[in-house]
Amino acid sequence: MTAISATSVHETHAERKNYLNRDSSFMSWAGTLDHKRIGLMYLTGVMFAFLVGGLFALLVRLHLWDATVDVATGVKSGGLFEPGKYNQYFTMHGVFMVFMFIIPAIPASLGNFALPLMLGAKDVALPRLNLASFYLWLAGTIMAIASMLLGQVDTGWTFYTPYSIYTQKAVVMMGLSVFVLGFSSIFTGLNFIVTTHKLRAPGQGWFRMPLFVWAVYATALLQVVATPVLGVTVLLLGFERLYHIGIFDPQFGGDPVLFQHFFWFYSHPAVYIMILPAMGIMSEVVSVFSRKPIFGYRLIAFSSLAIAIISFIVWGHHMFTSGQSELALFLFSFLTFFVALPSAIKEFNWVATIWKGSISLEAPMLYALSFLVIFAIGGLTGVILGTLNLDIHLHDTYFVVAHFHYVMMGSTAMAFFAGLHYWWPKMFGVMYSRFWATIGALVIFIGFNATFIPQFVMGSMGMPRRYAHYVPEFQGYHQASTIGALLLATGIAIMVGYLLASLFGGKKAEGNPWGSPTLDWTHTSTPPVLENFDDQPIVEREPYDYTLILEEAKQRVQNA
Amino acid sequence: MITSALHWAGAHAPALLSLGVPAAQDPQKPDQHWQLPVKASSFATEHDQLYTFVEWINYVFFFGIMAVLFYSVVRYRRRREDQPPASTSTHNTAMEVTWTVIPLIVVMVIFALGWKGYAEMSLAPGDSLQFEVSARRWEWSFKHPGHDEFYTRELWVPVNRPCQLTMSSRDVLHSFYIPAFRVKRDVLPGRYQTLWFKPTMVGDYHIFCTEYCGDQHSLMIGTVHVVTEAEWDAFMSGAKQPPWNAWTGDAAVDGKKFYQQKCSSCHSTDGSPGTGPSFKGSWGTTKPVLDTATGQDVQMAFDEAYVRMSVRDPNRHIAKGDPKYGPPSPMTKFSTSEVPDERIEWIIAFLKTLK
Ligand code: HEC
Ligand SMILES: [Cu+2]
Ligand SMILES: [Cu+2]
Repeated sequence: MTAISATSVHETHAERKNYLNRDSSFMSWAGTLDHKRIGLMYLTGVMFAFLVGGLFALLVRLHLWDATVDVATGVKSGGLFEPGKYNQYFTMHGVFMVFMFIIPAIPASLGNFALPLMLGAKDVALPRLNLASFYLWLAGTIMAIASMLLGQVDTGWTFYTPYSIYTQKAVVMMGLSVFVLGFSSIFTGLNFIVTTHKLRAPGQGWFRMPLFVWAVYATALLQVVATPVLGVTVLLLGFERLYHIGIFDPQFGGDPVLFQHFFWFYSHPAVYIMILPAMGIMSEVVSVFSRKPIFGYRLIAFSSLAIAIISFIVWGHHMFTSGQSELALFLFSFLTFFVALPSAIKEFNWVATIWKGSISLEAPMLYALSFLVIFAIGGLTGVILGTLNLDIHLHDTYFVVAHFHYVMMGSTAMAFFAGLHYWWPKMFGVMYSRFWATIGALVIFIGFNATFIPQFVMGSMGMPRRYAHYVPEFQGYHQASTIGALLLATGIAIMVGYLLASLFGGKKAEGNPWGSPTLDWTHTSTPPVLENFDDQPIVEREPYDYTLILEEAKQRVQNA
Repeated sequence: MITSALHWAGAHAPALLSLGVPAAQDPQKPDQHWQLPVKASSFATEHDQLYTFVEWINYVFFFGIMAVLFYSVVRYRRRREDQPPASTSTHNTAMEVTWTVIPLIVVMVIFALGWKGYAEMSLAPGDSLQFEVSARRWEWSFKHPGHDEFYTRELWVPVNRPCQLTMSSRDVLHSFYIPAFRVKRDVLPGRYQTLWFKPTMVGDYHIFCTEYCGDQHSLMIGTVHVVTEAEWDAFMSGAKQPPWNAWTGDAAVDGKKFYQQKCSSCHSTDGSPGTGPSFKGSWGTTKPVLDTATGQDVQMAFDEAYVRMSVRDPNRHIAKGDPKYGPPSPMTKFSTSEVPDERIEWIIAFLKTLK
């Protein structure tokens, strides 16, 4: 990297218009081709989806406070809603969180913002496609909301046949929404693949890319290869619902389990579409706040690719009870343990990076530490679920619910928050309150675990998922979980509160407040200008080289 | 809210603190793991051993990682702004190989044990008692050996004898789950799935549906009664009337019981809304329905013929009043083995008593 330090760049361009304030007309946003603005629009969108999905989660948890059923008589009591409403709410929770929040959250918002900056590029390779994919996301979201208002979708986010064929027609609209969202995801992936191949700065070989880029790249491969299967599947589902073509509906000679194969052929890789970019953020944040090169760079990069490939051949582990052949079960269980390994290796590498580092406990690092704890639990409980005869008992219970919330909400969303806090000063040029950020991270961490640990226990005790009413012996666990959920919601409200407050009168951010060594911080102003860099940056160092950062820190201490 | 949380914490704190070692043992539930239900089948013992084994491996990994992590965070906390890291090593091949190979060996062992456990579950002994299970929204029905009628929501099995269930669904996917036996199997329309178990403890245990199947998925529950071998033999020899064939002979009374098994999950008798129309005061009225054969709305009298037709071919006429009613009608098309002809007459006798 050139010798200009981050702070000096910042001072030189202090008065220049940045990408935010250069034009504030509506069309300058709605029609923008700037990856940073598109990233921010996505950020607003996915946060909206997250809050809506979270609201449904709260409704579900409040309902479950005392919704019990007597086994002998089948008489239900308590609860806020009739089962039909409850079923719609958990469906909406799942659909919003999976398709509108978690899948696009990191790549489309933070990835869009940071990828070109980290590569030393002026923009993504295909800016128009980038804008198009945002509008597809918007269209898909509007369609989902419409199908929710017009009819009742009560299939769960998995849309299993034949139930989804017999239920109300609104499911067709919801399927189309998922189809459109899928294309948004494919376009983003395609764009990032081309960008990574073509727009790296001179000197930035593949092994000089920051690991976030590696992760987003591996994700993009998955998005492009796996998502079309989802698209075809929901289209077939729509045709089946409307015209009874006889693919999934046993009444017309179809095979309902075929749908599960198609669905998980996408949705298992989708789990990694969610978690891989989160792992990328972890690598950045852990290294920067330990001020130490990431431990085992190549192992991490390759394990991202390994995960991307192996994740295509484990889908059957979602169907251990569905009547697959013994051979299929054997292979799927075996391969599932293999996909666990690269994730374990990454966890070890992050901890090794922190070991003997110079650890700063700023907000991004607090969220990253939360990730390390939660991801360990999520991964280890996954080992239990991958074990064939244990899964027979645990499948479709709250144990599974808790497990995937540890991975999807606990890990991916936690890393998303880490990334959000990490790039926030770069995005908006302002700093949030350190005090409130610490409180927020703690409350979220405690609330999250309080919500889902009881779910592990009630799951292994035999509490099935998607139950609007449960047998009374599970009530204590449900109430503990609901209290946890309220705490978690409080934490999120605190976070949203201090982040928004920082936009109005937050302290002005320094050029490179965290001492990051990557191009996005060292070679751009804060916030960046329209095309990011004045001159084409040239990469002369390894991605996580902190010598310059340390020298600057020493100078600052001496001057003070 | 708070009191029940405290209650919960009080009830579970000993278990939480002892990390899986059961505190006091209930003699009725020999060495029950605090995270798992009672052990009532031959699979449960092996399942729980493996569960505990993996659980402890997990504790070792988890607390190991956490110890290193939190030690590092405290010990290497940045105290001065220009504090350099204590080490800048970027890899260590020996260590990286170690932490790849050890987990690899561990998970392969776990995999093998899991497979072994599953292999036993997949093959029923040749001398198993044979049961049939029919699932539909939202009830389980069981055909017991030596009796060819389905009984709803309750299953009786003898202790210490292998039992095999041959299951099929009449409509959507369901999944048959008995937590105390550690068995689960999806039940599919148009296909037979089998499942077997050997109960080891007399008692009543929950049956759950664990594949989401619509409105009353969570009410699709039932009970399996494990009875002593002597009692079972008495049922079989006819010395004692089996509970799955205990009718009074009064059509209206038996009709009510049968109705509660087969129809009340969708049709209330008190006017409250459900998946299907309530039958309160329906008898003898005339109502508009959609005739799906012609696509026309027609007037139908709610009489014997209409009830018989509705049970055998619910899609023919669709009641009005709620888009949920279809077409297609969500009501099961009952076969004569599920609802024999004379049972329809019982139901009719019962419906006539409703005002
Ligand atoms: C899975 C839910 C379900 C079950 C179980 C069920 N029904 Fe229905 N039934 C419906 C629905 C929905 C309708 C309205 C649509 C239609 O007319 O087919 C209906 C309609 C009817 C009608 C016509 C009602 C009218 O007002 O026109 C009759 C009679 C009837 N059912 C009888 C029965 C009997 C007898 C049983 C038990 C043996 C039974 N049903 C079990 C869902 C169910
Ligand atoms: Cu069911
Ligand atoms: Cu169900």
